[in-house]
Amino acid sequence: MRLFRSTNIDFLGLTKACITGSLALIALATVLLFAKGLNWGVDFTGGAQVVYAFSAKPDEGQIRKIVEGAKVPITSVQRYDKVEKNQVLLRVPMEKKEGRDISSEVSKALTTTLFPKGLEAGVFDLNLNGADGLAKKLQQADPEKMSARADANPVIEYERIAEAIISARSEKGLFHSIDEAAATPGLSPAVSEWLKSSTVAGPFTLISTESVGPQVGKDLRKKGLLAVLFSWAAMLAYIAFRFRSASFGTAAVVALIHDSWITLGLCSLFGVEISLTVVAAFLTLIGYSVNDTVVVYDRIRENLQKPKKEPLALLVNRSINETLSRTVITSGLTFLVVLSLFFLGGEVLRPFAFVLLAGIIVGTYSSIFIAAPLVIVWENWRSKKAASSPAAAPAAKGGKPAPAKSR
Amino acid sequence: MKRPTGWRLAVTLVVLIGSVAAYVYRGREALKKSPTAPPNPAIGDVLKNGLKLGLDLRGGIHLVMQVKAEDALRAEASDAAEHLKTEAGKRGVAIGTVNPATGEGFTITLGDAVSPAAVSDLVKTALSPTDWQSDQSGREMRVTFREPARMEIEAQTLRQAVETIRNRVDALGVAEPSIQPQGNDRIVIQLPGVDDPARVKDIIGTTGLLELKIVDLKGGPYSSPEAASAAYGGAIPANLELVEGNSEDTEARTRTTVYYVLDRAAAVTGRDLKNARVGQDKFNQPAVEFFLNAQGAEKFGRVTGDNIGRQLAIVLDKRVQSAPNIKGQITDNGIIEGNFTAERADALSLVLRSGALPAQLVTLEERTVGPSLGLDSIKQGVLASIVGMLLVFVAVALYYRFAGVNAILALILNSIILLGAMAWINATLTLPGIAGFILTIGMAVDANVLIFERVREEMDGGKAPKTAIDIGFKKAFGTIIDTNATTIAAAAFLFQFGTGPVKGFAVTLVIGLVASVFTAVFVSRLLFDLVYGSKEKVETLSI
Repeated sequence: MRLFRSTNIDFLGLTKACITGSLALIALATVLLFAKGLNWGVDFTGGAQVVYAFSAKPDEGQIRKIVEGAKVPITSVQRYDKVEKNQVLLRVPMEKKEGRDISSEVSKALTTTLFPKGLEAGVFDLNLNGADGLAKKLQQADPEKMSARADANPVIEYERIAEAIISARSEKGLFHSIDEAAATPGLSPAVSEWLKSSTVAGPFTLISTESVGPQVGKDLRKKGLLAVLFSWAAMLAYIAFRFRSASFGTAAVVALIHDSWITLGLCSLFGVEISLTVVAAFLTLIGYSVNDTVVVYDRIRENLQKPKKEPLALLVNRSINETLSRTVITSGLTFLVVLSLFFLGGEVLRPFAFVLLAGIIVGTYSSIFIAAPLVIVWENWRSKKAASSPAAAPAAKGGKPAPAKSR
Repeated sequence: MKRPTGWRLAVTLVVLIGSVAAYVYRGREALKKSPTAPPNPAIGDVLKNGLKLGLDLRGGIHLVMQVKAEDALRAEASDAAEHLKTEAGKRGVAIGTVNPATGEGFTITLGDAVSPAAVSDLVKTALSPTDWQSDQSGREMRVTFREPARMEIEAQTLRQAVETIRNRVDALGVAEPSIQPQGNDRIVIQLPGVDDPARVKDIIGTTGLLELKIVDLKGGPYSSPEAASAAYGGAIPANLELVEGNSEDTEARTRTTVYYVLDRAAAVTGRDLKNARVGQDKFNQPAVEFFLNAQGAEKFGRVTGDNIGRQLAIVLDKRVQSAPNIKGQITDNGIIEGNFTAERADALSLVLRSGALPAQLVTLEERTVGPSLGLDSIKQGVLASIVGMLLVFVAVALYYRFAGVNAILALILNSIILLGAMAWINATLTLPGIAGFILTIGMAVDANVLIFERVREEMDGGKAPKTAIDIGFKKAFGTIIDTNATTIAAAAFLFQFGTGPVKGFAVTLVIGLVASVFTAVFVSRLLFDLVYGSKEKVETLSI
């Protein structure tokens, strides 16, 4: 099967249209980035994000009221992940001073109002405690009467039971009732009875907390920015080293910035939350975008080394056509796996997958329609400059055809 | 051209078997360490445990804490000031008033009769000149730390804090904790599998500084700081201090804050503690009993004996828990009451046993992942990986036929090498790492596509199939190196600047891409040679 059989599309004929289109997209992205801005995540802004799962449909208004009543400032309360998971994401703005334990304060406030029984002395909430605490509690209560038996190691046995109960909870998200906990497979009737009589299943459980103070937020911003700048510099250096030519290097970097900027604009448009993982996606994208471009450039260089004399423009166009099938297929295959990641990989990885999806599309487009044609645009510009100032050195170097021939 | 296949087949098999063996070995090793694992684990369990999972997949807590070395410096300066006062007394030098210490040192408001030179001499002889320096302006003498001494105390404080936290975490029984100093004043704490963050944060973050101090005769309690200072004519003397405390009203079960005025110097501190355990107070509420060592008991006995009838404040982390009257001499034990829950009393006795932190800790960053989120992430990641892989397999098989099968085998081998290598170097698999795995599959096939497209092109150009394979592999090689180099360079910066989970992504991506060069260039070629190599003439290629 073949998608492209010896194509001969006049890509360079489309250069003007594509550059105009790209400039428009870049302008649009710039407007978006300045007008709407980016949705910076807690990694960079500082502050806290706490996710809870509830046993029944949560009431965001009520949650906000409860938490604000406990003097915890709140930016937003919103539903999170799939609807049936009953999860809620709370965002808390950054404190000026370090060290406030937001998640514990929020948990306490929620318990106080929604489940006051949970605060009574001796009450053990299976949804808020972990396997460790449960094991201790089981050891003290000893429902299996293990301390009377010589052959059993109560510490390890109860740890195993506690782990089984908590992993059953993890499977379900949380225990909706104490009976659900008591029905954990493999429990003895004695333990089930003990669970029913001595523990409770509260109305919510903590799914995750991310809390970043001002100092760490500042560090992460700096690190993220440095990582992006350094990798741009590295790409520039690599291309300069591999191709030893200003025209290729500049065109590749222009294409790279083009890809990153438009993708960033798309992030702004769709309100994608920028976290450390998303920065990682951007760096991957930087590598991938250059990678696509390099394949086309490699071919141009290879064709340049052939003795056949041919105007540069035609040669570049032929090189794009020759590598077209490869460019589209590899991008397509990577696109497929990222698509799977986007739809199946879960809420946390979705922004990451989004950046790669958008980046692959923009990057593939720019590799074909922007990066290679830009080499010609650059050469033409230089030859014009050379013509207007005769003292300037000839633009052609390293065996490339003289610019005059490229017209 | 016939190429030998024997040694290349051997290399490929060694890599394959080595990767599987490394993975299985790590899996068995991990199960052996787990106390709750069955003695003869099923192969499924072994395969589940081959990779070390990051906190974001396993669930757990990641904390970055800052050690406020200021506290330790102030304590050190306070000790030095006390020492200087004693020495001054011994030598009969009336130095004047020594003001409360700060993190930089302390100041002396010189007495009227004393010459600055005499005090300066005293400072030089009484305190170590390598640690302290003094300068004077008017009637004020500043005694401050020298820079090396200050840095040494800060480093010491950090070391001690790490050690204390390690003791506490060990007492909690967390498996495979990681507690590392970072920079000058930070500690990174990673506790995998911990699923009740509130309790752990409480235990790690509580300073646990126990001080027993005598309450001043006019010491209160007062209802406000203003009321307290008014009782002393507007200013509390320098040898006393104002400390917040709990009200004595245990019946009300509400914690109202009151204010005590205490002797600044502690009679006994937690350093003289031998043991602490959960006990009961007079209302049968949980409380913490403590026992002093011989040195502490002697001091405590002396102080309580001298102060019968007065109040003794039991101060925990700068808060008066209770202030009972001293009815008789007490030597080696006492009780901390404070309306504790059983859990809190348990945590507190653990904290006291493991020793006080040398300084206050402040949480700079906290990331907690509950076990259900970790489990969800793994499930979704595995599903996305499998579906992504199958999509690529189907696409490649449809598009390249036999050569596609070749690429599929290379991809499978690539995944096995990736997992084996990660297990072998004990790399941690994180959620972004799973994304890296999925991405690697998409990018690894890139190398195969480059080669196959090139082979097709050469055949279109009229080359014989076997020659086309030769040229295709040769010519695509340079491009493959180029494309991988750019992505690996980007990943290297991610590793350099990224945090835990993102580092996991970088590691996965780099290993995957390096493995893909091997599988696409070396193994795919081998597969072609195995099929076509023995034939004298190949008419057509299925590509």
